Amino acid sequence: MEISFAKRGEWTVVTVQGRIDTISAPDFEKSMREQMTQGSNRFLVDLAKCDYISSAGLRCILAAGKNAKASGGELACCGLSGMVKQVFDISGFRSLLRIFDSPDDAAKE
Amino acid sequence: MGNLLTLVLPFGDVIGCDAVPPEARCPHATGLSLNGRCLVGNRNLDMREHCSTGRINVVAPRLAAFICGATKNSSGWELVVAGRLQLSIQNNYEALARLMGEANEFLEDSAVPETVVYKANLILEELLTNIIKYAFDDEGVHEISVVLTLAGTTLTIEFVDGGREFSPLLAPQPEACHSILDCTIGGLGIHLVRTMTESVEYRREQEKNFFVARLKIDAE
Repeated sequence: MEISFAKRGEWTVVTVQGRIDTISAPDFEKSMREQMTQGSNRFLVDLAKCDYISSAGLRCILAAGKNAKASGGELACCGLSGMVKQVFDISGFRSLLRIFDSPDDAAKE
Repeated sequence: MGNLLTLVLPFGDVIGCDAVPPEARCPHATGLSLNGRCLVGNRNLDMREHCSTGRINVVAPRLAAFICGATKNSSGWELVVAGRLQLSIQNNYEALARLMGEANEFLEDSAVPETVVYKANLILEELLTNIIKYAFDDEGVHEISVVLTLAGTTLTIEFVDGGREFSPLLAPQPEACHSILDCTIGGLGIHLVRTMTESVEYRREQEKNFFVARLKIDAE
C-alpha cells in the first residue's frame, strides 16, 4: 500500500494505492494519526487506485472517521468501483460515511 | 523433471486438437499445466481409463493438476482438469502474507477472473486472521492447513486448524450502526465471507475445525 496526502479546498485528500488489508492497515492508521496531529480533520479517502480492501481495511477507515468526527471534522470516501465498492455496500459503510464520486465532486460542495 | 512444457489455459477454455502439443495427448505427460477444460484430440486413447489415477503433471512443486473427469464428444475427448494448491502456515501475520502471495500466484497461473481472485483473497485473509487472532489460547506455534482446489467452475478453499471450536456459520451478523461514533463492526469479516461465497461448510472433528468455502467461477 502507498498512501499520499494533498490539500484540496477544505479537504485533506488521502490517496491510497494498492491493498488495505491486515498487513497494511497499521500503516494506514499511523499515517492518519500523524495527519491529525498536524491539525487535519476533514479527510477525503480516494480509493480509485485501491484494488483490494478487507474488513481490516474498513475497520481502520472507520477508526480514522471516528477520530475525525470526535474532533469536529469528517472522513468521506470517493473513487469506489468494482469489488471495493461491493465490499463497502455489503458492510453498510454508505450509511456511515459520505461517499463522493471523485475529489472534484467533493470539492464542489 | 527433464524438459518442461508449460501450457496454461484460461479457465473454462476449450482448445482444439491443433493447439494441443503432442505431449498433451498422453495424460501421463510431465510438466504440462492444464487448468480448466482441455480438449484432447486423440480419439484412440480412452481417457476414462486414466481418470481415477490421472495425475498428469507437476509444473512446480506448489502446483499439481489432476484429471477429474472426461467426456467424449464429436471432436474428441474433453478432459476436466483440476488445479490444487496445498499450503500450511504457522499462526502469525508474516506467514499469512507469504501464503497470500503463493495463493495469488496459483490463481493468476490458473487465469481465474479478477473478481474470483478478490473474493478468494478476502476468504483467505478473513478466515486466517480470525484463526491467528482468536483460535489459540497459548502463545505457542500452531499449524494451519489451507488447500485451494480448482475444478470445473468451482474454486474450493479448505481450512483446518486445531484451535478452539468456532463455527463461522454461527457467528452473529454485525449490528447495524446508526452513527459512526457508536459503530464497532465486530464480525464484519465473516459477514463478508458468507455474503460472497456460493456455499460454506463447517464441521468439528478430532478436536479440529474444518471450514470449506466454495466460489463459483463465471467467465468475465
